[in-house]
Amino acid sequence: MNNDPLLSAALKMLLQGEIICSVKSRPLFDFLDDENNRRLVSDSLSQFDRDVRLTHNMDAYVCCYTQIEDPEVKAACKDRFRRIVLDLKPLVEWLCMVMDSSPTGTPIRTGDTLSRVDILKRVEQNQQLCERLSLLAAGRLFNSRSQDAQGQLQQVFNKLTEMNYLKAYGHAGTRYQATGMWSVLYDQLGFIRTHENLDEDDDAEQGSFL
Amino acid sequence: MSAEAIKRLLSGLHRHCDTISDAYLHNQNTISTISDDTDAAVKALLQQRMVWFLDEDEGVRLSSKLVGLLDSAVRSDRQLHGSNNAAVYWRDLGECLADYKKSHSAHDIEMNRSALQECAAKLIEEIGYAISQFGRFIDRGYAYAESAEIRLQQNARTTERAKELVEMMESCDLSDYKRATGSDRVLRALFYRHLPQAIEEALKNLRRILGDLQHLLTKIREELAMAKMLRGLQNAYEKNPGFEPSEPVMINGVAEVFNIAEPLLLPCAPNIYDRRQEVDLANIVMALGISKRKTDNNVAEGRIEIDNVMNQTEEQPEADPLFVASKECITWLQETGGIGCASEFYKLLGLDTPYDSWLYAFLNYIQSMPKDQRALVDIEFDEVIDPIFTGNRTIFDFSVEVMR
Repeated sequence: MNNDPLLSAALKMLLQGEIICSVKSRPLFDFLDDENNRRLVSDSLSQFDRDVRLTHNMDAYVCCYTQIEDPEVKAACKDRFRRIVLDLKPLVEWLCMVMDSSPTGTPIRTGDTLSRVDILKRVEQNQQLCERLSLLAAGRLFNSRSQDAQGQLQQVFNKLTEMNYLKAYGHAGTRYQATGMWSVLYDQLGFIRTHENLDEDDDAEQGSFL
Repeated sequence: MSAEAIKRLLSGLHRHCDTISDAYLHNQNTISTISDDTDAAVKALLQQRMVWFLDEDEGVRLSSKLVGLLDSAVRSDRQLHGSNNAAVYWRDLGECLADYKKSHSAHDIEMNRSALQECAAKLIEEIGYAISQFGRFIDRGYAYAESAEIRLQQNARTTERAKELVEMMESCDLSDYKRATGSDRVLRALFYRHLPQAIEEALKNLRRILGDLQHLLTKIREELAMAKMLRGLQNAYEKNPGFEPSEPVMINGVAEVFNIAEPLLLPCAPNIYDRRQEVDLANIVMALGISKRKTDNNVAEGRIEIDNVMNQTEEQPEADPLFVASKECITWLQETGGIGCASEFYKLLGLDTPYDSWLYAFLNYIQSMPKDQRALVDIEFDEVIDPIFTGNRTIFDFSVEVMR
């Protein structure tokens, strides 16, 4: 019997439905990066009809089912899809908003640092971003009652932290690190985009523009 | 070889330069496709012994002398296109070597030796500088460029330049220099040790830098793809505010990206039969203060025995936890005037019952509220249309708003 504390911790986290990424737990992520360790974890999880898999951009490990023909598993995966669909619009809007306010215009990636103060500054300097934030924060997912951008942004960050998309760090409580949950979400967004043929419209638009 | 023969050879090479360069650059020194054009070239070159013919399957191969000539031509071209001063110094070094070899008098030898040393030192310095320049490119990664497309373009250009530098250094042949040094200790140290070391070190660093740059390029490409994906989804929501992705068909299996296992809750009980755990468990029990509460309850129960005998026999019905929870949620909403989601309440309350039961119980409670109170409650359902039974809708969640 292997008594490696890292193995035990990785198994617990995965069985509890948590993801393992470099932001949430660097030692466990490095542990799983080793093929032998991953095999050990995989063997242990197989006792529960589960396995560990990596997201497409290799930023996070998640626990998945192995008996994919099982009706219960199908139901659980459908349920997962439905829950994602519910939060999809505000999350996409938030990602686009951060992209638009970022100087480099790049999407959030695992390990990125987000400063609430910096984002607030940029939002306050741009009326359009301010309105977008206000609409986003008042929506069902973030459900903010605040009238000012600061309170709205605080609520958005709190909710994303609660949903494990962000991890607060530092003493000031204004800096956050993006977790591997974004990587999981991007995989799902990619699937939805392909499934819904959203590329075609995009390309057609570009073609007509050219 | 007479002057006529040299002219004939050179004009022959010139006439068939396209066939030769194509074979050298793209076809591993072989003229494999025989057409009318290449046929004439092959005949002429065979006559000049610039190509040789082994068998029909392998085609016609360029002679090693011609390949050597082309190698040196390409080598100097690569060196010149290293787009930095290192290539220029490398060429100067070649000229210095030629002068050094030609010199006879002690004065000329000494002068050309110094020039050779100086040029080699500058070359070493320039190689180091070129590497540090590329290092700086990597550090910045053109982060100041707002457009990811431009970053990608600039970084790709840097990669090309770095590759050219690698090619230039890989093509540096020091054998001529080593031979020319003779017994000169300084030149021997320069061409046997310092310059090869500098080139080797630079190549090592440059390869590492190139690796980092490739990694950065991959990252930028990924980010571009992700940004495009997000814009695509944003457009979908803008064009159609009610847009809802259709559920993937999961007949033969499940879509991998949604295959994420739900938490596996494994409740366990303390092992009171294990003597080794006895002390720890006793400490936990002590910390809970159960014995103290038990005593307090006994006192209270004793009082009930005397005061109210009826209460001892009458069984108090336990309130339904879902009913209590629903009531608390509505009270909270009435007090705060806020909006709440059934799913969020479920998470916050940490209920043991299945989520579906909670949805039913909460909805039932709202529907059974007194008319005047019910009128103030607004419910918005989160639902999806059943893909098979189109008249049906599945409710996953609902938000509740209480007007004040």
